[in-house]
Amino acid sequence: MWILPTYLKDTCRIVNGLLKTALGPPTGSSTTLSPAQDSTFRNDSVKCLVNIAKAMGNWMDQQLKVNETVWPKGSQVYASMDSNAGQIGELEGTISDCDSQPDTTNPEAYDASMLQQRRAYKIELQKGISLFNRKPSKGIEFLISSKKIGSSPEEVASFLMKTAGLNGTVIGDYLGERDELPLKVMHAYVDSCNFEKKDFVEAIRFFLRGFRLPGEAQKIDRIMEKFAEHYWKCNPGSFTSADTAYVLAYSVIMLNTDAHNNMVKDKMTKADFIRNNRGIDDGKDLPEEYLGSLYDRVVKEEIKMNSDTLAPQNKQVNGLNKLLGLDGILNLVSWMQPDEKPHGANGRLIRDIQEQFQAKPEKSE
Amino acid sequence: MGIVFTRLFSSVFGNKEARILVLGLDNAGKTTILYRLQMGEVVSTIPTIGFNVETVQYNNIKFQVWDLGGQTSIRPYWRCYFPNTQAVIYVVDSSDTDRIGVAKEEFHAILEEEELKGAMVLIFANKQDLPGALDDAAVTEALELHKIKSRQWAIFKTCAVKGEGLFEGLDWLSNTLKSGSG
Repeated sequence: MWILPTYLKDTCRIVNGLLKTALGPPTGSSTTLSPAQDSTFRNDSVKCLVNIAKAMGNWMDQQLKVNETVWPKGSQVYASMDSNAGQIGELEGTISDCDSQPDTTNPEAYDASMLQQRRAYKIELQKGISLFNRKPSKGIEFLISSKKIGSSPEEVASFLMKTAGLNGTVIGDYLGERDELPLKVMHAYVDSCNFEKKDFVEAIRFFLRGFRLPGEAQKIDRIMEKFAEHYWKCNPGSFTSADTAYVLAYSVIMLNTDAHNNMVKDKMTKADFIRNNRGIDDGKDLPEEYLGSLYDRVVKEEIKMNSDTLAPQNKQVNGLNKLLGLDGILNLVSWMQPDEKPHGANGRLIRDIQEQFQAKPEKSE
Repeated sequence: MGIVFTRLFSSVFGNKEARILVLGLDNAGKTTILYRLQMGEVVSTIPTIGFNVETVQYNNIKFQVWDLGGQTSIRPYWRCYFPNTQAVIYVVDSSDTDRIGVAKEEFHAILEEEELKGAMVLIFANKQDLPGALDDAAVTEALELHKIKSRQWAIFKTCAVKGEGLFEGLDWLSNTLKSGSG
């Protein structure tokens, strides 16, 4: 955790130095540099600053999983950067490499306006995410209206599945809603899961790791009914009908509550569980050994939400976030919200950079 | 202080446990009631995935309250949870006059469950703070409570978001439980 502040401090120092060089000697002071040297220094400093900003931008892209295709014009510019850029080590590499960086054919003014657009995009995305975490329906509404995500249930479902920074409990609450859009999103969410050849308990575990199943009976009912329907579609031979899977899914959630919630003192026995499920397979009983092994597995290993990951592909990134303390960086971004004035030395620095970028396009025109 | 005292008291004079099911339609206020009943007991760990369950210590009785909603299709498979149930708390959204008919049918279907024959019924006419909410007499009529035979029941006006009426209901429950099966 200490690594990040250290790097940040160093980076700030470097940026500060570069900025001073870029601005040239303060008025009234003398310099030993020739005007030509001074101009080269200043030019290179600005280039370095742009590269640092780019590298940080790319890193943020990775953290926020911004889809590059959203930026058709800018994608070329950024594709020329190392696709892995963004990690701190990379950032340093970029700084030391900045002299050898080939000049892009695009004028810097173009870069600057692109960067600003991208920054605005990311700030809005972050705003949407934090709004979602407080008021899920409002958050989704905002993200759709500001065109951060598409309005189809499939697109919203995919956003809920893949976006880092969403609160799993809130995702669960949203998916359990009775309103039209959340209901459709929940259906799309379930339909996008592949349960083929997955054993029933494994499928439930797989399904419930990306969000926290709400505790309200009716919400559990709606979500598990849809789960069962899709499970049965993926594995038609598993039960006589989707209804069987539905009742069994409900029963498994009840067992998980009974076995692992410490509010429950008298636990359900295996015999109780088997008795509870009698006649659920279209009037017939499921094999006792099957129900018995299901009982053993749920009691032995609690069905839980993946606490630190939302989707498996995020695992690495999230590990990295932890290591580097992404929170710190996200705070940096939130400083830059237009309505908030940055404070302190770093705030001044950010303001200076912002002014630099704003001034830049005019100069080169 | 009150909670500590109750605990001390019950450890001296013994304790009773009761399993309660909270039933009722979507949006009747079950979750809020459960939340209100937990009386500031802070749960620090991440709650287990599954149904909302709370244990409430009140008047010498430990209530274990399960939110099991009320799906007609699923109900026959709650068997495991019915036999040891002493009471059902049925929650009605008194302001939702459109669905009170559905609430009535659901309520009487629950009473027909063989395993719930011995359970007493406490009805919460909830959301009394909302405009147009039916009062307890009107809810009694709408749910046809007079049709209940050979079972103890009571109805209370509640406003779960403000916590009003809930503990009056629990008072009735604990008194009836104590005087009932000893």
